[in-house]
Amino acid sequence: MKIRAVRMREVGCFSTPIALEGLSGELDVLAGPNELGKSTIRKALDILFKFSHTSQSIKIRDLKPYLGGAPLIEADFEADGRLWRLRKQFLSEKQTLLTEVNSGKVAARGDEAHRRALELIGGSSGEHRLGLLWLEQGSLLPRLSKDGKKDEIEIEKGARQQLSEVIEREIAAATGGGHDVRVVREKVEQQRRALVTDRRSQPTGEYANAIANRNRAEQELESARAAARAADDRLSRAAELRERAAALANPASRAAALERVQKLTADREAAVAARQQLKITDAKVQACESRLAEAQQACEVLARRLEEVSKLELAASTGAKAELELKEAVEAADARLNEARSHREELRVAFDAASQRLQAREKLDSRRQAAIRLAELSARMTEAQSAAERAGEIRSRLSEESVTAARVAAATREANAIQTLEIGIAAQLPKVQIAYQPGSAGKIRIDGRPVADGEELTPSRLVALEIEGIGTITIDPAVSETVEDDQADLDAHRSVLGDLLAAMGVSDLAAAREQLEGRQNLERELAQAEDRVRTRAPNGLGPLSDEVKRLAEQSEDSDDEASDLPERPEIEAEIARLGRAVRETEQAVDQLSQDQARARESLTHHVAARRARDERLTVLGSELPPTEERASRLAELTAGVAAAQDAVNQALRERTAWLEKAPDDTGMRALEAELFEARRLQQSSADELARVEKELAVVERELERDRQDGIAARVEELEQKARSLGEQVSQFERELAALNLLLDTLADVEQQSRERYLSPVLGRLDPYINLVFPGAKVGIGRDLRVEAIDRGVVNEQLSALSDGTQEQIAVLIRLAFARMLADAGRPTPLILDDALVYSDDSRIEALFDALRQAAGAHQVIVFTCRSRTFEQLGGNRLAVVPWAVQ
Amino acid sequence: MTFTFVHTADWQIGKVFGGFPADKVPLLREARLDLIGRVARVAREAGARHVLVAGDVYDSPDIPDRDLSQSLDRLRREEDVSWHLLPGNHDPAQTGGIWERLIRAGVPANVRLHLESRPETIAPDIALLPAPLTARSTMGDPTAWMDTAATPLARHRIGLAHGSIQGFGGGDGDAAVPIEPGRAQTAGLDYLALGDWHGVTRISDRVWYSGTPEPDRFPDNEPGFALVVRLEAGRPAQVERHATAHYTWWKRTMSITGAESLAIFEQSLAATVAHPERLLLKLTVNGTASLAAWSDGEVRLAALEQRLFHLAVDSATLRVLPEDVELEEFGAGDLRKVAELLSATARNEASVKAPAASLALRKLYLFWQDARGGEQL
Repeated sequence: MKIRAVRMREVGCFSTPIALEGLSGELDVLAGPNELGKSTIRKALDILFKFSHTSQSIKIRDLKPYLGGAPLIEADFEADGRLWRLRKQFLSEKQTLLTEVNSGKVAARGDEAHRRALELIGGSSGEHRLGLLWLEQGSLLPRLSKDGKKDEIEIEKGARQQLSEVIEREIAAATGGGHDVRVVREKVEQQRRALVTDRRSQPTGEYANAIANRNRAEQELESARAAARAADDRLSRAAELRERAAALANPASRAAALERVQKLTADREAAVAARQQLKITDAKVQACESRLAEAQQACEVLARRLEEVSKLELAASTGAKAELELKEAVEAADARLNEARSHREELRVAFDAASQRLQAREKLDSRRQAAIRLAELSARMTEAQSAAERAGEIRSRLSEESVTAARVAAATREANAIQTLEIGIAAQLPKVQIAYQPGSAGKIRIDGRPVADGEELTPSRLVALEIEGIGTITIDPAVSETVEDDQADLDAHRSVLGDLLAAMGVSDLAAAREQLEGRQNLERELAQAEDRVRTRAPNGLGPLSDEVKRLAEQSEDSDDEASDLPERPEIEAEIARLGRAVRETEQAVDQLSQDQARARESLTHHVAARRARDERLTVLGSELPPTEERASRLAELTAGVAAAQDAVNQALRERTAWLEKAPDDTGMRALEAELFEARRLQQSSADELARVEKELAVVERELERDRQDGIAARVEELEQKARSLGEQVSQFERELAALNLLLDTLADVEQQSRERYLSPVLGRLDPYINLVFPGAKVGIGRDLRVEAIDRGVVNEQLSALSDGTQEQIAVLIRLAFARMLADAGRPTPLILDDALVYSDDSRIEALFDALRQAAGAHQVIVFTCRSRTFEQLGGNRLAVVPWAVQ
Repeated sequence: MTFTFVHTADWQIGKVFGGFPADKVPLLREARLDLIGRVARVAREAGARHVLVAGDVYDSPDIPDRDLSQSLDRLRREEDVSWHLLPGNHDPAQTGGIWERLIRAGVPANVRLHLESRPETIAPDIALLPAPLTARSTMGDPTAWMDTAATPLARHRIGLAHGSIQGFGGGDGDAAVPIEPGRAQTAGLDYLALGDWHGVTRISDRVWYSGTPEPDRFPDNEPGFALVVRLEAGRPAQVERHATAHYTWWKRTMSITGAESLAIFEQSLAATVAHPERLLLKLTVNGTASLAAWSDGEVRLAALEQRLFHLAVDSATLRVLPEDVELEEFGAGDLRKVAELLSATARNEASVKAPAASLALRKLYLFWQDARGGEQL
C-alpha cells in the first residue's frame, strides 16, 4: 500500500478542511512547527484504516473538533495495482465509501467498503500491522512516558504480538499449524497455573489443597496414633489397677501381709541375737588364740636355749686346739716377713750404688761431646771472621767507585738517542762526496781545513768549500725546521752524555762500561763473603764466639776417677735388674705382711669367740633351770601348748555356728528394709487401695471417652485417608511433572523454530543496524523483545542503553519489519510522527540514510517539527493545503 | 452322626473405610452388619445350628455404640442359630474392653462369648476349645493349651483361634499371633477354625481359614465366603464354601495390547459380574497404548465408573506412545516436533522422565484436539 493523499474535515485542530496532496509513495516529509496538526493527521489516518465508520471509539470522539462536528476523513492509496479512495464519515451520517479513482466507480459502501479496504491493505491483520508501523511520538519508549502509560505499553505489547504473528505466519506457511502451538502452550500454562504459581512455582488451587489436606491428615493420623497408644496404655493400666485393687482388698492378702511382718520381725530379732553371740565367740577365739601363742612361745624359748647351750659347749671343745694352731702360725709369719724385709734393704743399697755410677758415666760422656763441638765451632769461627774482614774491604772499595749501573744506563740511553738523532739528521742533509783527481788531494778546504779524499760531507748549515785556485763552492742545505729541532735535541743529549761521563770520570761510554763491570765483580764477591758469614755464624759472630768460649770452659774440666767406669748400657742393665729385684722383694714383703695380718686376725677372732661363748654360757646357765630339771621342764611346756590349741579349736567351732545364723551388715540392712517395706505395705494398703480405686475410676472414664472418640477406628480411617490424599498429591505431582516437561519441550521447539525463522527479520535488520551502529548485532528474546545489542566489545542490555539508542533501535526494527512485508509483496507505509526525538545529529544522519534506503522498498512518511534538522533528509516535502470537499 | 456348623471370621463390624468417598462409606459399613443375616441364612440352609466366629468380630475395641448395639440386635434376631464369638487381635479380650461393653449392653441368649481358654461343650459330645486373644499381639501360641486340655466326654474336639499359621506362606492377616501348623494333630482336634486371613485358605483337612464373609479390601485371595463344616466320626471334616458377600471387590490389572483391550475387559466384566453396581474395582492399567486407544479408553473408563459402585484406576505405569500415523496428524510443525520428542523420551524406559513424557503426550493430544475443535468452531 502507498498513500497518495490525505484529506479531512472537522477533525481535531483543523477548523477548515485540509489536505495533504501529492505524496510520492516513497519518502514523504511533512515538516512544520508544533501544533501544525501533524499528529492529528496521523491519528486521522489511523482511525480511517482501523475503525469502522460505525465505531463509537473514544479515539474517534477525541478527534472531534473543539467546536464540535463529525470527522470526515479521506485518503487515496495504491493497493493491488490500482488507486483507491477511502472516505469515512464518523459519528454523524456515518458512511464509508470506497472508490476506484481512475474509473471513478464506487467499489463498495458501508461495512463492505470497510472490509474491502482492510483486505486491500493486508487482510484482517492490517490493523495490527499499522499499529506496528504507524508510530507516534514517544511510543517507542513506553517506560519514559509520564502519562498514558497503559496505552503505550499495550501498543508496545501489540507491536510485539504483531511481529510474532507475522513470524508465526511465516512459520505456519512453511510448516503449517503455527497457531496451534500457541494455543496448546496457553492451555498447558493455564493448566499449570491451576497447579502452581507462575513466579515461584508454589502449589496452588486443588494441588495446594491436596498437599494441605494430606499434611493435615498425616498430622491428625500421628495424633490419632499417639492417642491410640495412650488408649492402649490406659487399657493396660486399668488392668493393672484392677488386679492391684483386687489384691489389696483380699483378706487373705492382708493376713499374709501381717504374717509377713511378724515373720520378718522375728527374723530380725534372731539376727540381732546371733550377731551378739557372734561377737562374744569372736572375743573368746581371740583369748584362746592369745593363750596358745604364749604357751607356744615359752616352749619354743626353752627348747631354743637348750639347743644353744649344747652347741656352745661343743664349740668350746674344738676352739681351744684351733687357737693354739693359730698362735704358731702367727709366729711363723712374723719370721718370714722379717727375712724378706732384710733382703729388700740389701737390694735397695745395691740399686742406689748403680744409679750413682750411671750419673758419673753421663757426666763423662757430656765433657767428651763438648770438646768435639768446640773444635767444629772454632773452625767455623775462623772462616766467618775471615769472610767478614773481606766484606769490609770490598765495601770500602765500592764506596770509592763513581761509575754506577744507573749512571751507565743513563749514559747508554743518551748515546742511543744521539745515534738515532744523528741518523735522522743525516738522512735529511745533503751529502757531498769528495773525490780528488790524482794530485789534487787536499785542495778543497772547508772551514779552513782540507777535505780528505773520499770524505763525505753532510752540511747542516751554510758551508763554503774553498777550492784552491778555483773558487768557493757554497752549499746551503736549506735545512728544515725538523732538522733544526732534531739538531737542538742532539745537542742537548750530547751535553747530558758529556756531563754523565764527567761525573763517572771516564772519557767515553766504553770506559764507563768497563769500570762498571769491575764494580759488579766486587759486588758479587761481597755477596759471597756475606753469605759465608751468615752460614758459618747464623746468629752472628758474637754468639758464636760466646759458645766457643763456653765449650772451651766445659771441656777444660777433667775427672780421672771416672775414666775406669763401665759403659753406660752395662750400667743401665744392672740398674734395671736391681729395680726388678727390689719390686719383687717388696711384693713378697706385702704378701707376707697380709699373711701375717690375717693370721693375727684369725687368732684375735678365735680369742674373742672363745670369750663370747664363755660369757653366753654364763648367761644361759643363769637363765635355765638346773641341768637335771631341764628335760622335765620342756615336757611340761609342750603339754601346755596342746591344751591351748584344743581350747582355740573349740572356740572356733562355736563362732562358725553363730556366723551361720548371724547375717552380715548388708544382709541386716536388707532384712531391715524388707521389714520396713512389709510394715509400710501393711500400714498403707488401705490408703493404696483408695488411691488405686480413685485412679482406676479416672482411667475408666478416660477409656469411656476413648470409646466415644472411636480412637482405633479413627486411626484406620486416617490411615486410609492419608493414603488416599497422598495418592492425590502424587497424581498432582505427576500432572505437574508432565506439564513442566510439555512446557519445556514446547519452549525448546519454539525456540528452535524462532531462531530459524527470525533469521529473515534479522537479515533485514542487519543492513539498517550497520548504517547506524556499524558492526553491531541485535539480540531478540523469546517474546520478540529486543534484549541486547552486541557492539563487539560488550554485550549491552537494551534497558542499559541511552534513550536515544533505544529509540533508534526501535525505529530500525520497524524498518526491518516493513521491509519484510514489502519483500513479501505486502508493502505498508511506515509513518514516523516525531519519532526521532532523542537522537543526536550524527546518529540522525545515519538514520536519514536508513530511511532513504527504506523508502526504496516501501513508503516512509515522516512528520517532524524539527524542520532544519530534517532538511538533510530530503524526500518529497509535503504541505497542508485547504481541501475543497466534494 | 454328623455335626454340622458354620465357620466364619473377620467380620470387622464398625470398619470405617476412610479412603472412600463419603457417600459410599455408610453403605460399606452397613454391609458388614448385614453379613450376620447372610451367614445365618447359610447356616440355616446347611442345617447347622452353630456358627463359630474365629475372631475380629469387631474392627476395634472402641467402635461406636451404634454398631455394637445393631450387631447384637441382628444376632439376637437369628434366634435359631447359636453364635460363638471369639476375641481376635482387632477386638482383644482386655479388661474394660469391647467384650465387657458387650456384656454390659446385654448379650443375647443365642450368643456365647468365649473369653477364656478352656473347653466348652457347645452341643452333646461336642467340645469347643477356644483360644481368645487378650492383646493385639502375643509372643506365644494361644492354642498351645489345647494339647493338654482334656475333654473325656467329647466325640469331637473343635479348636477356635485367631492368628497366623507359621510356615505356611504370608497370608493376608495382620495379627502378630503365631499358631503352630501341627496344632490339630498335637491337640487331637477334628477341626481347627481359624480367623485373621481374609481369604478362604485350606491349611490341611482339619485346619481352615474361612476368610471374611464380606470383603473389606481389594484382595489377593478369595474373600466373601462362609464355610459349612460337617464332622463325622472316623471321617475327615467335610468343608464347603458358601458365598456371602454383598459387594464384590476386584483388584485387576489390565494390560493394553491394542485399541480393543478395554472393550474386551468390559465384555469380560459384564459376563462375570451379575451386579456391577455392587462391584468395587481397583484397576491397574499398564502396557502401551496409542494416543487414540488411550483416548478411547478414557472415555470407556469414564462410562464404566458410572456403572460400578466404585472404580479406582491406576494408569501410572501405562505408556502412551503415539503411532507414526498419529504423529503425522500433528502436521509438520512444532507440535509434531514436540510430540516426537516426548514420544522418544516416553519410549526410553531407562529415562526417569519416561512416565512424565507419556502423560505429557496425553495432555498434548487433548490440548491439540481442543485447539483443533476451537478452530473448527
